[in-house]
This record gives sequence, structure tokens and C-alpha cells, in this order.
Amino acid sequence: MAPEHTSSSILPSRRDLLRDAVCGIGGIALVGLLQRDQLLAAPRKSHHPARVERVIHIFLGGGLSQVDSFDHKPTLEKYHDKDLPAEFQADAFFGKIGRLHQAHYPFRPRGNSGLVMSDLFPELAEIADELTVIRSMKAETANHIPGIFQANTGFRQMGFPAFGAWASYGLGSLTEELPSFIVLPDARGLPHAAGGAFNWTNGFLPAEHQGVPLATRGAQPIPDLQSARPLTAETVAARFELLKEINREHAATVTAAAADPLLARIHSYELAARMQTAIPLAMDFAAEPEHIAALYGLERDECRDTARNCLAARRLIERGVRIVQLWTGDGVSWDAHDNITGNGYKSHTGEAKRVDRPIAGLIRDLRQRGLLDSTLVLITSEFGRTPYAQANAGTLSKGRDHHPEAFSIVLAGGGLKPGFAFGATDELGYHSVENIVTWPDLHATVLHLLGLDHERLTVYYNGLQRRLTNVHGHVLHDLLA
Amino acid sequence: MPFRRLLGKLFLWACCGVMLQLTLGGSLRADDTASFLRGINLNGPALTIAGRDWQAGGPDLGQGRFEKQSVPLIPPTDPARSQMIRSSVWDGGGQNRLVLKDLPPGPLTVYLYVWEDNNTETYSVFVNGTQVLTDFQSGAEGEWRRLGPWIAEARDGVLELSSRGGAANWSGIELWRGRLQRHPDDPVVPPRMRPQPLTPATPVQKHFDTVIAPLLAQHCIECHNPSEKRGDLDLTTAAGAANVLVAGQPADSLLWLQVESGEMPKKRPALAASEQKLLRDWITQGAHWGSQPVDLFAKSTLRRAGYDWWSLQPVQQPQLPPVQNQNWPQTAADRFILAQLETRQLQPSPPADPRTLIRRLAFDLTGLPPTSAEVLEFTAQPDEAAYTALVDRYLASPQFGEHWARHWLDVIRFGESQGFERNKVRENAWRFRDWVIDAYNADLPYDEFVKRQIAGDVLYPQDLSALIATGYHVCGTWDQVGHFEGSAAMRRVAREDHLEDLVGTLGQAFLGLSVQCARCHDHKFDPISQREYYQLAAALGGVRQLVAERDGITLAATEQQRDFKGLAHVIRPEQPPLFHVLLRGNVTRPGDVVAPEGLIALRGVEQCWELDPQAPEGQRRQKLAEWLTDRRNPLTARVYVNRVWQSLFGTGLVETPSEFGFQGGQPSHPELLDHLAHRFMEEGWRVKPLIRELVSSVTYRQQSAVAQPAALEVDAGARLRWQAPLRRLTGEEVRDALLSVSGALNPAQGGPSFRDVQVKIGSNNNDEFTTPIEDFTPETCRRTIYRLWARSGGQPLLTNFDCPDPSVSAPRRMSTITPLQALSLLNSSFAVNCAQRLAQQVQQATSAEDSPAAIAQQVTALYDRVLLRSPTTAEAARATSFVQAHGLEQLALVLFNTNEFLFVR
Repeated sequence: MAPEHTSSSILPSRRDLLRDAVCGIGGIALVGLLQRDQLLAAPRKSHHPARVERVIHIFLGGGLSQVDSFDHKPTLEKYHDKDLPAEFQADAFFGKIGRLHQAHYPFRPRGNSGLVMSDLFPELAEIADELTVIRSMKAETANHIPGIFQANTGFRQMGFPAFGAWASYGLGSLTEELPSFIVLPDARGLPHAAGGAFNWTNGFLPAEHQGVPLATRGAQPIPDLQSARPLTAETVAARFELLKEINREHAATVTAAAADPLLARIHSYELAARMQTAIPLAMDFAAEPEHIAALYGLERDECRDTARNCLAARRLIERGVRIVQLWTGDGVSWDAHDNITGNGYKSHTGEAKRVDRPIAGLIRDLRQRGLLDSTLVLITSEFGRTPYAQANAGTLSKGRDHHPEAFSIVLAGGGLKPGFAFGATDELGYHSVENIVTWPDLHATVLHLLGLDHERLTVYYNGLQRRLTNVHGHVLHDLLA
Repeated sequence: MPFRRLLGKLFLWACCGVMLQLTLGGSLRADDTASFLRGINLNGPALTIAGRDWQAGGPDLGQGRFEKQSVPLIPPTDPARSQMIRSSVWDGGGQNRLVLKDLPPGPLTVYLYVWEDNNTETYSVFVNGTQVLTDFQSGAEGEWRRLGPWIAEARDGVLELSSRGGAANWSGIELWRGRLQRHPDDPVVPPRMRPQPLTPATPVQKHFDTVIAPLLAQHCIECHNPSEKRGDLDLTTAAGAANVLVAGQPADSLLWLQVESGEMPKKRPALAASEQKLLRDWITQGAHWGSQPVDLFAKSTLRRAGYDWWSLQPVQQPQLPPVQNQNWPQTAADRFILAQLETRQLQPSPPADPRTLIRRLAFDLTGLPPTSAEVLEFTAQPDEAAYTALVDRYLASPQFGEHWARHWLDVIRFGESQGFERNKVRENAWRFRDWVIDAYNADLPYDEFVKRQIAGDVLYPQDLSALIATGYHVCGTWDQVGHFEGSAAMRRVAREDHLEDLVGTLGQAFLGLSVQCARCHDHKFDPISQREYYQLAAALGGVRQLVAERDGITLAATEQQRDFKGLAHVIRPEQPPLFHVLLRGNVTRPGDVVAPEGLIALRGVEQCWELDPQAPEGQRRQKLAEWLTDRRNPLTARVYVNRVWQSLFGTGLVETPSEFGFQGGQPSHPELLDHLAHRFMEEGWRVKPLIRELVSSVTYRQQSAVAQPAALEVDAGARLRWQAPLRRLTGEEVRDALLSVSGALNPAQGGPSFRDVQVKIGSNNNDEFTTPIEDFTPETCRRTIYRLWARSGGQPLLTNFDCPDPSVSAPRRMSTITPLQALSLLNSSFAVNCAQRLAQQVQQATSAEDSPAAIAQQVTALYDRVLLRSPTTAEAARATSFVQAHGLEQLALVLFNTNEFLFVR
């Protein structure tokens, strides 16, 4: 028997219980009580000084082709229309290994940094000096859903907390009026094809850390924000008032120790009342001047949808939201098996038009407002695409298959080396070969930027001390300024 | 389809199970005199395999044929056999048929070699027209199997083999005369035995075994063992340690130098000075080794559990402890509780008042509030007889099973869609949910409850409900794309991930052990080796999820002449491949072959099941079921009685209900836990008597939220049970209680699940769960357990009240407090509909007038329905003026949101 488990250690003090209530099983509203008891400061203490306070994650689901976007491979031009050398032992998802295909868009050095990018994202290319690219990502699966789950939760299986939930759990909220982790689906709806809510679930963390999807259009941004039956403001206020009185009288009938959860519930209704005003205000763009709307591309038909979400993301983080995750398409719309350069669904040209201007506008806007230094913008896919065409052996096509061995992601914001590319792939862009980065490495780095140590941010669940990074992950210090 | 017809169809499968069982059952009677009769290389030359001469297939088979000798086989085998396997015959129409002639009379043992050269195919195999294998999946590229053994007799010297379904690649046929139980080419794997007690031969060895070995085990062996071997160093044996030890010369021994410099152990506290001295002295004195290798698992240390861990020891029957206050205890459990309180000089709390008690009991046993009439009756005469009658009534009510089934379904992560990319609804998974409810209501003994879920189809082949019980195996997630689409390597990873989920759920649900942590290496905290993980995986290796549900196997119903048809989501097992230990969990690095077997660490119960690595699938699960429910198994009963305790007292005696290993909590009352477990088994594993005894205790009937400063000081969580817990209702209880108090609850039991979220066919051949359905009809007003529990199909009200998504096991519900709960419960159309219904009913029962007197009457009735009491004068006055301004419906909503309603005291 382990001596550290003495019989007295099974009996927690009230102080332990309160701490558990915040850190383990409990809720947002207890934070107020703990401040009252001087047990805890809100927002919570980070493990080390934070470089950024918040994260905007833009997810380009389906598999962004690295060799057509951020990873220039001149050798591919040389070997265009040649067979993939046998030593690669290709393991294509759909089993069709066509000939090598050169980049579908021209590459050039950009900005003062000379960061090489293709013409796929012309607007992002203009702010290349703000960007940090990782070219040596490596995923564990060529299967969309486990891959997307892993990008968002660290695990291929479903049900584990999203990294946004972990960040919220670790740092607490900067505002009481809004959820700390907000998800913005695009106009095509929630990304069900990508596993939907599993990508922003709180998993086994307390429910307050769940990602809350906000509709950027339509009547109610979140379900049940307003009554299902229209009520006058007087009735809404009177309900809260009466409820508070009844609950206070009830709480007075129990002992102080037992009253904590009861008082926390009373507080939660005050927060709910404030949320009813704060959310519509955050989503109301009326006050945004025209030049800002134009910066995001709000007036352009082809990208209005993402523009709305990017603008909403900025307004939300300004109001204290920790994590905003922005989805494009149905979650797998970058899955260009047939035609990279097509204009529609599951093409790259078409999808890029929807996001290029808005994302660049968001980064520019954050910069001009002085927010970029305290924000991390993360642009990722779940894996990359094959350097060879998805076609019958010996032939070419304009499509590429799933490819987990190598892909690129983009970061911008505080604490990073700007205009900088990290890691490298082989000559064909097939394998990551230099400074290979896994999802746990990236997650460890995101937490590090937020001031959290991925090895210390743990929660005990079902017999295990769980971490976002499981038993893996190394912070990418070479990426940091 | 009428239900009787549904049942009948299920019955037919049960018959199919019988037939298979009889056929395979024959093969169990081993005949040592079985002799090799004939081997046929169906698409190749005569050759010799393992010393037996095979003949060439000959040209008369009339089927397609091909050869791909470059494909690497999984698992690898000898060259001659490989050559035979990689050339095969097949029929493009999916109807292989082969007639073997000139066979002798008497029993024959038949094997069929098949393999896969590209994409997986699904087909069934028949011997003399009898189906012997259903929907076999041929696996990934390179996978091969020797299917069988099937026992058959030739008719007039002729035997017919055929397959139907996908394109089957037949490579060879092997016939043996007689009944062959174990194929002689199968590796014999000796079972690993629990280490024997130390029998030190010499004082020097004894010193090592008792002093040095524990030191190495605690500080070094975690990394330097035969399976991990960090730095290519194995410190469990003298040979392994030879390179880092120089007998008599610590200064020349790398082991000592690294320890002395603090280099080792890495990332861990250094050895204490006294420990360093022991180590140094041992080397100086010759570094003599002990009587056996150092076993990491032998003893518990500060870092991990060993074979001596408390939960792994046999269940004891403890004596009832003496207590001073003889008047307080009413049950044995009370004695154990009081004894500990008295030791710490604490007092139990007084009994709860009758209204509080009946509300607590009703929620705990049925998940619903009592009715006002029940409260009135009990509070009028709250004596022991009335309480006992109440307990009996709740235990006998169908709502008991509906509530307690939920606890179990949480543990085994029961879900009604398969999750992942093709998250399709399992239309017929509800039959398993109903089976669980029925099992609780019928008080099916827990050992039977376990056996039927694990192997009901094998143990009771003629019992339809036992087949439905095997829905246990197929209620988790299933990555259809990973298993059937994508490359061969991806499919193998998906299969191993799925097995981890199966083994993990089994270990945690029944044994409270995280066996899945040993997939890639020996368990870091518990005495479970990686090998044992794969032994349990081999026991479950025949469990495969299906794209389509088990349907329409139409056979002549031999036992009963009924021709009903039906559908259920149940197991459709298949003979698993040979299981290997996968080094580092890597599918491309197979190690030793393993046979299905239990865990060595469980003291008292035999870990060896005497099964062959290729034992028939059904036998594996049968042995597993027997092993789990063996009276000597130290964990099964302990884990379950602890779950029951948690359901009634908020926290378990062990706070971590699915983790009884090192990472779990220690029992607050170890003797009580054993008393309950022992008695539970002794009295036939029956759940209702256990619950009856626990709720009859004075411990259960105490007040909650009591002012006991002394007790609060030492035990704020009341784990010593000096008061009852104050708990928030679960999501289901909130929803069911709203329906109940508003008179909208439809008590209909069982049947297909209702939907409260729209299900839409997505672009990806998946089901999408979109907006909540706001209909308020009898169908949607059924109890929450009857809703479609789809993965990712959460409903905001329930999700906000911590109903978990059924993708991972939820052995204990969270109880959070968030503003989103407030919004759901005040504003959702569900809450508003309940409030409206309640207001209408109250007005019908009292008066619909809006005079102050009529409103006062309505207010009183509303309090009575929701809070089970009358308002005080002040409350009534305040509520009446609120209703005058805002209406009765709004008052109902306010009361739904009160803590008095949402908490059980």
C-alpha cells in the first residue's frame, strides 16, 4: 500500500473542496466565492509569464496542400509528371498513386523577410512579415475525423477536451459576461462532417469550459439566450429578482459550508442576465466603420461569410473571450481530391477566396489596434496533401490525396519570430525531415505562449492524470522570439 | 413491424447461434489420434508445409485464379506456406464452391486458408451447406487466416465447401481425420505464472531479494526492464546488469557512478543517503544477485502498485466492529460507519425530516420526485413500516430500472450512433437499453448481468434476451472510415484503437483497472504487463462492429416454429486472428503470440484459462465471463457495490469508481467495502436487497447541510458520512422532474428511442444532429433515458446540466454551475412548455380566475406541485403579486429554477 495515501488524506478540508470546485468539479460562479474567501484570484494564475492572453484558431479542415501553399519544392517542378520513386512506399488513403505534380500556384519570396509563399493566398502574402510558418508538421493519421480530433484535442479518439477548453480551464475567464471559449461556424452550418461538437467539447473538464458555438446570423446567437416566448423587459427582470429572493431565503436555511453551491447558482443567474445583453452587443457590427468592414472584405460576396466571423472574432476577444475557434466550410472543404484549382467546394482556389482577405484583414486589424502582440492567431489544417496526383498509376490529375507525413501551418502574433519559417520537408515535400513537429508539440507551444506548462496542466479523470498532450509534447522554443 | 415479429427474427439468429455452437462444440472434444489426411494447394504446385505433403490443386476447380508473391504476409509465416497462401482461387460472382471427393467416413477436421491481396471483403463460409462462419472480414492487404477448425462428415465420400458474399481468395484446404482441437503448427504459449513466494537459498540472496531488489524496483526498473530497456539496459537480472556493475568496485561501476552523481534516476528524486549506502555496500560486498529476477510488480512502492495492492487481495469477511452507541445502528453498514466516527470522536447527524427523506429516496431510487399525495401520506405517518413500504414500492416500480440503468449505461458509454466521420444512428440499439432496464427491474443477479453482456450468446444460445445483452460489446464508438476505407496501415491502426477502447471499457467498468494503459508498455502504475493487455484483447478480438446491423439471417427455426423477424444491434462475432504483443503498441512490430487469459495480479482467481491462441471465439468470451464473475475475483464485487454506494451517497467508499488501482483513491471504510462485497456475493449478487439494506440504514437517513463545526474541520467532504450529501439533480432528473411535476410525463416504457434533436443525412453519408426539436408531444414527453443517445447529438438543456456525451465512460457525473444552465432552464421551449402545462393544470384544478383569492389558491397549488410544500404567508403574498403582474406560467418557471427544486437534501 502506498504510504502517501494515509487515512487522513482521504478527508479533504473545505479549502481543498473549494479549490477542487474551481479546478476540478465545479463552476465559473465559484470563482466569485473564492475571491470572497481570498482563495483564488481571477483570472487564474498562469504557470509562467504569458506571451499572449488569447487565441484565435482558424481551422481550414480537409487538408491544405503544403506544396501548393507554404512549402515551395522546386524539385517537384523538375520531376513533374514522373513516377514517385519506389523508396517512398506510398500509402495513399484512396490507393491511387498518380504521378508527381508540381505546385498549382507560383511561389515567390514575400515582404522584407523573404518568406516564400505561393499565390494561393495573395492577401496573406502581403503580410508575410507578420507570419510564422511551420513546414514540418507530421500527423498520425490520413483519416479526416481522427486527424481533426487530434488537431483539436490531441487524441485521435473522440470525447477528449479541446485545447480551447484546456486553455479556459487553465487560465479562467477574462470576462464574466461571455463564455471563455467561443466557436464560430461558417454560414454553411456547424462542421458536422468534421465531427462537430467533439472539436470544442469540454470532455471531462467542467462544462463551463465547453466551446459555445455562436451563430453570426439568425435570431439567437446561442440557444435559449432569450425566452422561447417573448417577454417584456419587466417580466425578465422580475423573474430574476423573485428567483434571487427565493434562493437567498433557501440558502439561509443551510449552513455556510453547504451554501457554497447554492450561492454559486444565485450568482450564475446574475451572469446569465448580463450575458443576455453582452452577446448581442458583441455580435452587432453596426458601429464598425466602413473602412474596417472593407479591411475584412465584408462588402465582397465571395468572402463575406468568413469576414463576418473574423470581425466577430476580434470583437469577442476585445471583450475578454479567451479562445475563438473559427471554422471554414463544413470542416472538410479543403479536401481537394479532384481539383485543387477548381472554384467550388473541395477546391483550394475556391476556398482560399473565401478566407484570404478576411484572415489578412483580421491580422492587420489586430496589429493596428495593438492587439496582435497579446493574441495568437493559428491557421491550421489536420494534415496535408500528397505531392503526387490522385490518379491512376502513370497519369496526372489536378487532385491530391490525404497526406499526414508532412504539412504546413501558419501562426501569427505575440511571442513568435515573425516572417520566419521553421522546419523542412524533403525535396518532394513528402516527409517532414527537419525539426519535425507533432500536434502535441504544437499544443504544448500554444499553452506555453498562454503561460501554461503542458506537463502541469492536468486533471484527474477516471484513474488517470490527464493532459492535453497525453505523455508527449515539447515546446518549440526555436519558434519563439 | 409488429413486435412479435421482431422478436421472432431475433429468435432465428439465436437458433443460428445454437447451430454454430453445436458444430463447434463437437470440436472441443479433442481426439489425440487425429491424423493429417490431405492438403491442397488450390492454385499452385505440390509442396511440403511443416513436414506434411500437400498436393497441387488441379485444373478442375473452374474459378478465377491469381498469384501475388511480393505481398508481405501478416503475420509472417514459413516460406512454403507463404507461397501456398499468396496464390489463390476466387469467383468473381462471390460464390466459391469446391467439392472434395474420395473421403473416408467418420469425423473430419476442415481448415480453409484465405488471404487478402487488396481491399477487405466480407463473406460467409459453408460446409456441406451449413453456415460455419458469418460475414467474415478478410482484413487488410497481406492478412491471411487459417479458418476453422470445422468438424464435418463426408456424405458418400463427398464434402462441399463454399462461400458467399464478397470475393474470397481461397489459398488452400487442409483436412484431418478425426477431431483436431489444436492445430500442431500453432505455437504453444506457456501461461505466465504468478511469481512464487520468495524462497531465499542463501543469506546473500536473501539480502538482495529483500533489500536491494525493492530498491532497484523503486528507482531503476521502471525504465531498465526487459520490455522498456532504456539505454539498452535491463536491471532485472544479473546478466542484464553485468555491464554497469563491477563486483567489489563501486568506483568502476557505472550504476553507482550515475546514482552518486545524481545523473540517475532521471526526472525523479535521487536515492536517499541511506539507500545510496545500501547500494554501494552491496556492490562493495560483491554485487551478489538474488534468487530470482527483480520483479517490478512484486511490491507496491511510492510510485506504483504491486501484487500486494489492497484492491487485488481476496475479499474478506470482516467482523462487525464494536460501537459505544448501541442504539444508533440499524444495519451492519451503520456499525462500520459509527465505529469510525466514534474513533474520531464525531457524531452522526440527526435523521432528516420526513418530507426531505421521501424526496431523497424517490430521486435516488426512481430518478423522479414523489407526488404530493405520496408526500402527504408519508408525512402524516412517517414510521418505520411506512418507510419500508415506500422503499419496497419504489424498488418494485418500473421507474427504478429506468433510473438505475442510466448509471450503468454511463459506465459502459452506451451510445446510439457510431461516432466518427460516418456518425450513423444505430436504429436498434434501444433493445440493449431496454434489456438493461429490464435486468434492473427483474433484479437479475449482477454476476448474470455481467455474464450475459460478455457472452450471453454463447452461454444461453436459445435465449433471445441473452443475445440482446451482448449489445454491450457494440455500444461504443466505431470508426467506419478507419476500418473500411483508407489504406491497409490505417485500417490496422483503427482496429488497434478500437481494441484499446474495448479493453479499456471492460477493465474499468468491471474491474476498476485501467488495463488499456498497458497497450504500448507495461502499466506505469499497476501490476499489469503489456502482454496481459494483449491477452485480454485476444479475448475480445472477435468483437467486430458492423456497418449494417445484425439482420435477416433466416434459418429454419428448429426449437419453436415461429417465423418472426426483427433487428437488434448485437454482437456478430468472428474468429479472431492470432494475437501478438505489439512492441511499443506498433502494428508493424508483432512480438510473442498470446492466448486469451486473465490478469495475474488478481489474487485468488486463476489467470490461466487453458485456452489455445486459436481457441474458438465463443470460448474466449465464455472464459472471460466466468473469470469476471468468479467468486474469488477480488475486484468485480468490490467495484460494483462501490458504484451502488456512490449512487446513493454521492461519493463512493472509493472515490474513483472505475479506478481501484494506484491512480485511484483509497477506501474510506475498507472493512465496510469488503463486508458489502462479501455479502453481495454470498446472497446471490442481487442488487435490490443491497440497495434496500443501504437505504434502510440510519446513515442514509441523516440530515444534510448540518452545522457540525468539529466534523467540518476534519472532514469537510463528509466522507466519514456524518451527514447526508446535498446534491444537484442530474440533467435527466431535471428534465424528468419538470415533466413529472407539470403532469406532462408520458410513462410509456421501452421501445424505439424518441428524438429531441433533428437528425439530418449529411453530405458524407453521416447523420447530423442539428437543431433541438421543440415539439411537446407525448412522444417527446417520455423519460429522458428513452431519448436517442446519439454521439454528438446532445440537447442544450441536458448538455448544460452535465449529461456526458456517450463517447467516453462517465463513471461519475459532474455537477457544474454555469450561466448557460440558467438560460436553458428559464428560456428553452421545453421549460416554457412545461411551465405552461403546469399552469393550465393548476388553473383547471383550482380556478382560472384572476381574483386575488383565486391566484392565491393557484400559488399554493403550484408550490405544492413543484416544491412539495405550501408557501409561507410571506411567500404566498409575494408570489401572488408576481403572478398578478406576470402570470402563473412565469411563477412556474421561477420555481423550476429554484435551488430548492434543483437540489436534493
